[in-house]
Amino acid sequence: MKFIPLKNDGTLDLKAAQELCTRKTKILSVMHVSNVLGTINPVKELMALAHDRGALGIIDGAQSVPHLPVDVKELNCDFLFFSGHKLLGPSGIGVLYGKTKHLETMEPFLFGGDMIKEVSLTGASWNDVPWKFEAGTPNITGVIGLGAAIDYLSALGRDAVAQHGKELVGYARQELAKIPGIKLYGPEEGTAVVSFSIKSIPPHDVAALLDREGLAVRAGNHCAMPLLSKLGVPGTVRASFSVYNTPEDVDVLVAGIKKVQEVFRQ
Amino acid sequence: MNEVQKMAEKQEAGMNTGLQEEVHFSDDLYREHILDHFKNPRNFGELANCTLRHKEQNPLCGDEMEIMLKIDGQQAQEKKLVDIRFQGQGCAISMAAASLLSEHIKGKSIEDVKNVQPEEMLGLLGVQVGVVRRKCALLALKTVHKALEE
Ligand SMILES: Cc1ncc(COP(=O)(O)O)c(C=O)c1O
Repeated sequence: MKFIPLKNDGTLDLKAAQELCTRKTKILSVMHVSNVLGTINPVKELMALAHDRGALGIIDGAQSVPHLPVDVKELNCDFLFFSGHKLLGPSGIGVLYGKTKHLETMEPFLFGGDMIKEVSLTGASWNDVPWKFEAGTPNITGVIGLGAAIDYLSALGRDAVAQHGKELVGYARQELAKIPGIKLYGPEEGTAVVSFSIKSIPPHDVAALLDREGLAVRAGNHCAMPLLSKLGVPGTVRASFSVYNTPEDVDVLVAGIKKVQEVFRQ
Repeated sequence: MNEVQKMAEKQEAGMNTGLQEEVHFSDDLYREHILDHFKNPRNFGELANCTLRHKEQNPLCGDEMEIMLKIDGQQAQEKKLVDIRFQGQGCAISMAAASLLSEHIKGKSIEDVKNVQPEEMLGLLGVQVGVVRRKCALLALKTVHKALEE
């Protein structure tokens, strides 16, 4: 396994990727949007790179599908997946997209009802795609909930949602940067999240005190310890934005952080 | 009201108390003495010629705690903790807890140190710690006990 290195601004080093991805590479897997830095990775180019080397290209869309218009055909990815719960949908459900030609050649990983065409005592044949991979009684409520969430976001307009996220993150970065003692991570041009740390106040304490102000942020390693080690910090505080957030929420966050600093100054 | 309704009501009442406790604790969590121990930790740093040394982590928060103990005495019942230092990084709660604990157990017999209960540790902090931060509050005590097990 090889890793595409990060440049100092939090973007992927594409030159290095060109060299790391060789004819021996089987899979190039990349996250579309970083859940820590908000970086939007150039996945279309990376998929092209993978295909040029004869590799499969896989995209983690958990953070991009909720915030950006994503077209699997345009990106030309072999697989893409995302979670329902980051898309205003229920937990316990997500989507795995795969090109039909791959799905048809793949063996089922689960056995159960509906994934079978014919069964005898000595053998069985698999149902067609996608049923081949949908063994057992499905998560019906989850499917309906996820469908409703997707319809809701689509009605708002995927471009409008993306624009809203971009503006909020831009405004948040601009306002947060004015606070003395704050350090922002990730590139200026990101979406969905802003990671930061505050001088002399551990991230979990920032989060606990912001919680008191009614502000829900996440603190810690964000399931990305290698990245945090690379940044050289024992965790960050992360504010995430969605369609229901407003610029006023950013102002409340800024005021909240100032209060946190007040408490620690005592 | 039937039995099921009564039970539901009871449960709801129970939940409400839980919520109030949570609010009470968060108001107090960053009291002055905790912040003081965080900013000016006692017994912080390296302890040369220590008898025991142990490191623990709290991966959820990224807390890291290393405790060094100096123990004197030959017979088991005479053994005493004569010095203690800790170092590491973590949230204010875990660091303040380590500082408070180090003052509390320095000079005690090893038997007494082994018998320090979680509730006693929380008592040193003097604030209600919610379930989420309990791990932070108890990390130092856990590290000391692990060191003594070895
Ligand atoms: C980029 C990214 N990928 C994957 C996941 C995991 O998704 P799930 O919790 O649905 O397994 C997350 C967050 O949890 C994420 O942010």
